[in-house]
Amino acid sequence: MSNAVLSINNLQKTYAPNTKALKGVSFDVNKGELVSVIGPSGAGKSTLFRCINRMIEPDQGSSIVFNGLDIVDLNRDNLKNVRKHIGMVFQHYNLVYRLTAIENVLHGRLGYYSTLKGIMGLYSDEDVLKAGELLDLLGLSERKYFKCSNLSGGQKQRVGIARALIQDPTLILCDEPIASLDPQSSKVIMDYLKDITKQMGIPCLVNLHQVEVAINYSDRIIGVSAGSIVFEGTPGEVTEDVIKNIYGAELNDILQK
Amino acid sequence: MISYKSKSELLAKHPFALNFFKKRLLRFLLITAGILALASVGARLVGFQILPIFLKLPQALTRFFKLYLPPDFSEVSKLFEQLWLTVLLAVCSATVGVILAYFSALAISKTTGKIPVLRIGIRFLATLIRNIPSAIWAITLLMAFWFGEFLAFIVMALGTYGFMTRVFSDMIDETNTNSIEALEATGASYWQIIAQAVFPETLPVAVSWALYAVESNIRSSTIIGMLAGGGVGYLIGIYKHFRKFELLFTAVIFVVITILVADQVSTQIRKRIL
Ligand SMILES: Nc1ncnc2c1ncn2[C@@H]1O[C@H](COP(=O)(O)OP(=O)(O)O)[C@@H](O)[C@H]1O
Ligand SMILES: [Mg+2]
Repeated sequence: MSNAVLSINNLQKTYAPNTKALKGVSFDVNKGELVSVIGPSGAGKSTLFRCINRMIEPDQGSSIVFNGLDIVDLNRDNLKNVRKHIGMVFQHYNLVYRLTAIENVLHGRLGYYSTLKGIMGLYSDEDVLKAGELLDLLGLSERKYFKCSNLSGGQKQRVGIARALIQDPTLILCDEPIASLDPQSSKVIMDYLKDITKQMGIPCLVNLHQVEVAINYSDRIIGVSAGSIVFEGTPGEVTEDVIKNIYGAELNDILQK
Repeated sequence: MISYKSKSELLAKHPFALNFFKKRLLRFLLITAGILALASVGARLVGFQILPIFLKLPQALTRFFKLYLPPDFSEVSKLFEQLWLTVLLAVCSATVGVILAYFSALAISKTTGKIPVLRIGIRFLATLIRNIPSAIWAITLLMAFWFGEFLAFIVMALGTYGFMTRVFSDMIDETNTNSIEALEATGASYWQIIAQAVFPETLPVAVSWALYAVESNIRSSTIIGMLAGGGVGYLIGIYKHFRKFELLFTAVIFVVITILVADQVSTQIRKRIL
């Protein structure tokens, strides 16, 4: 219980009166855990991730306790403070492509600076050196001063991970981090995420659409279907039936065609 | 070889096909006739006739040569002074207009505009300014700011502002919002995101447009200078008024040279940055 970094209770999200994307989702993420969320497209996975740092506003009555603080009723300033401690990694990397790798990494520190210093990009020597170190760690020592538009997909994603890491996060959210990558780069990225959870002790919540990857890398797997959790357990417990239950409707669709 | 049915069978099967093309031809003929009618009515109204243009061409040319040639270079130093002033005015007014336009565009763009009142207000203002021609601005503002360089500056800055606000807000609408989302997620503040994500992503395109604004202001500064008083346009106005056509012709030559040079310079800069 005290082990939980993130504790979600009855999370609901209604976009329009008739589109309920999340129908009361509850689960915890513990220290040192890599938790995967799997489910068919449209199940509500991205909505779930974006509600956690309130990039999307969850419905009233939802509860998201992070570091002992309920995020749902924070004001904007306090919300920014919470976001500083949650790293986020995106399917499309979401970098500023005209800037260099190291500049993009340092964006992860902006929350720690005054507005003016942030605007001018006056990062402390300490942070600049840290950014260099993180890029080395992620195998990008030769690419630090490359414009991000000139990097490969896998390299871009590693810059994205470095940007999350430099935040000194308590939790990292990864929304389909390997969905745009080839198998080789996907493996590299997943290995890094595993190292981050195990060696740095930062828990990762990862949204994946490849079940095998989730089984290979996760400590725990959460299956989401139509806005509800339909499975929660260890990779070993993911049987054929479980997969059918999660992807059921979609599998039937495919079989009918 | 494809074998088709007989024509009558085909006609029964495709009742609308032939009609479609007949209608299309009819529409084309009607529109052409309409345009010709409008043009002839317009020509009648202003007393425009084709034949006299050709008949009077030699006469017009002789008149031109007599009035404008040879160009008179006696006031070249004064001319250069005014030309320099014109370029300076164009650059400064474009700069001021572009900077104000960029901030206004941030306020009205779908991606970066956060305050609805400001969005509507500034959009309305920019649209209003854009849709009033510079000549009208020059005449109206003449009452508020006296004839001179400052008036010319204001009029050109307004022109740049009105046009560039529109261009920049479209540009910001089209920039990728992904990086904005990422920076929001790290806890960065609004102006940090503008400076660190939106600005770098839009800079090359914005600079390219700013160069265009300078060029365009150099081109229009002649006319605006004539109306508002300032720069080489003002000088040309005076030459015209006192019928000093040889001097006027020299001024026109140098204006054209300046415009061509400005065009080349901005093309070169653009090549470097894009
Ligand atoms: N901004 C939005 N407005 C309205 N409906 C949305 C919006 N975003 C997502 N949805 C709907 O919510 C459901 C869940 O979407 P999403 O969270 O993107 O699913 P996933 O990431 O699992 O594919 C889908 O039915 C989708 O159409
Ligand atoms: Mg998604």
